Amino acid sequence: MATLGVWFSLLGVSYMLYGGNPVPIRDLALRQVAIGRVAGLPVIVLVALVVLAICYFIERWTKLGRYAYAIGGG
Amino acid sequence: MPVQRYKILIFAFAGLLIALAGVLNAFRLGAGSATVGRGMLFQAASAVVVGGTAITGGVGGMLNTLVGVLFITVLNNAVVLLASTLRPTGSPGRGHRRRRDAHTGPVQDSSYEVSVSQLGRPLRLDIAAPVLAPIALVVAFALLNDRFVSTVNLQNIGQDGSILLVLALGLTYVILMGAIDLSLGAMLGLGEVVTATLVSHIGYWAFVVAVLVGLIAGLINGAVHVRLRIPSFHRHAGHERHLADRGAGRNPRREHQRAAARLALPGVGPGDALRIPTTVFLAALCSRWRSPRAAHALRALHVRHRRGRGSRARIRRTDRRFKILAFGLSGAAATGAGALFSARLLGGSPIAGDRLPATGDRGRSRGRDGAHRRDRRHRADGTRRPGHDPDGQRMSILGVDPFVQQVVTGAIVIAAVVATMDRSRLFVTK
Repeated sequence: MATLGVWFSLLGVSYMLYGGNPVPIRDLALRQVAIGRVAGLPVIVLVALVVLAICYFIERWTKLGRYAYAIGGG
Repeated sequence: MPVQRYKILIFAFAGLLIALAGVLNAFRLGAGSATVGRGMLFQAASAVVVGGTAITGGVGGMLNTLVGVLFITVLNNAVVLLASTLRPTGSPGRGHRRRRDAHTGPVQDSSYEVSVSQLGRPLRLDIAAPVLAPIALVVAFALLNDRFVSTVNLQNIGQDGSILLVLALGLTYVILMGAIDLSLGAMLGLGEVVTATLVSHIGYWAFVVAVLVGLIAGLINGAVHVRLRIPSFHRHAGHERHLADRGAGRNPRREHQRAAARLALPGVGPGDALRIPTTVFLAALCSRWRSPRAAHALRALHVRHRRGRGSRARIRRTDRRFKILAFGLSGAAATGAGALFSARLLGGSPIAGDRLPATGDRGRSRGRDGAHRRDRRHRADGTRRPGHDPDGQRMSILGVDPFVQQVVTGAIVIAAVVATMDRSRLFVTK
C-alpha cells in the first residue's frame, strides 16, 4: 500500500509539472546516449550490461545485497 | 541487523535504477511522457518472477532477472512477428509459413529435450525452465520466421530488453526482500519527463537530476513503508495483465462512445435522487453488505490461527474457499465500479482503470461536450497519421485482433510462473 500511495503521488506530480503531454527531446547529439552504437552494439545495451554487472556485484559482495536476501528469507 | 535502514536503502536503490530506465527510454524514444510507465510494472514483475526469483523473497537474483527479461522481450517481439508469419495470402508471411510447416517436428522436439541433465539426474523443471525457455523460444521463433534473427530485429530486442532489464533489476532488489514497488510506472514516467524537460537547458546534467529524483522517490517509498509500517503490496501481475488485455480485446479501438440509453443501468450513473447521485447510494449499499461467517473466516485465515482472533469461526482446510470468495467479491466490486464509471462518463474504455487516478488526464481526454478528442493517430486536420491503418489495428496483420495476441502473452506469462515458482514454499493462508 505504501508504494501504491507513492505511485498516486508521483503520477500526480508528473501531471502537475508537465501537463501529461509528451515532452520532446530535439537534440540528436544527446539522444546518442541511447540510439548510438559502439562496435555495432547499441549504447543502451552496453549501459544495461554495465548496470547488470554493478547490480550483480552489489548482490553478491556487499552488505546491502546480503541483507536483501536475509530480509526476504526471514 | 538494521533491517529498517537497509529496507529504505534498497527501495532508494531501486528508485535510482527505475529512474535510470526512464532516462534511457526518454533518450531512445526522443520524448518523455508521464504515462509511459503504464503496464511496465507488470512486465518488469513478470520478468523477475518468471526468471525464478521467488515473489515471497529470499530466493533468486540478478541473473535470474536477466533470463526473465530475455523471456519476456523475446515473447513480446515474437508474438508480433508470428502474426506476420501467419498472414493468410499474398504476403511475405506465406513463404515463412511453409518453412514453419517443414520444421514443425524439430521445434516440438527441441522443447522437450530438457528432461535429463548431463550428470544423468533428472532436471527439475522449475530450475531448468527459466534458463531453457528463452533458448527454446529463440530457436522456435527463428525457425518460424527468419526475420526474427535479422540484425534489425535483434537490435530491437536488445534495445527493448535493455530498458526492461534496468527496470527489472531495480525491482529485483525489492522483491528479494519479499516486498513490491507498485510506484514503478509513475517513477519511470517521472524520470522521463524530468530528463526531457531539463535536457535542453542543462544537457547531460538532466540525466543526473532525473536519477537523483528517482533516488529521492525511492527513499520516500522506503520511509513510508518502514517508518510508517505500511506494507508494500502484492498483486498477481500476470493475472492483472491478462484481465486488462481481455478487456482490450473486447474493444479494439479502446475508446468507444456508449449512449447512456444503451447501458445496462439506465439512469444509474448520471441520475440522482434527492440531489444525491445514485452512485453514492449504490456504494453505501455495497459497504453495508457483509457476511459474519465469511468475515470471521477471513480474519482467522489472516492470523493463521485455528480460531481467528475474536472470531467464533473454526477454520478448516475447506474454509479457504472464503479466500476465493473474497477475491470474487473484489472482482465483482471492481467490475461494478467500472460499470458505474462508464455510466457516469457515458463511455467505456478498457484502460479506464489506468486513467482513474489521474483526474486531470480524464478532463483533457474529453471535450466540453463529452466527446473524446482526437488521439495521436490523427493529425490536427483529422486525417490519420502514416503507419496507422484505418481500422486502428496496426499490429493485426493476419486479421487477428491485436489484443488477442496480448491475451495469449498474458496467459503464457501465467503458465510460466506456474511452472517456475516453487509453490510449496508459498503458504496459502499467508
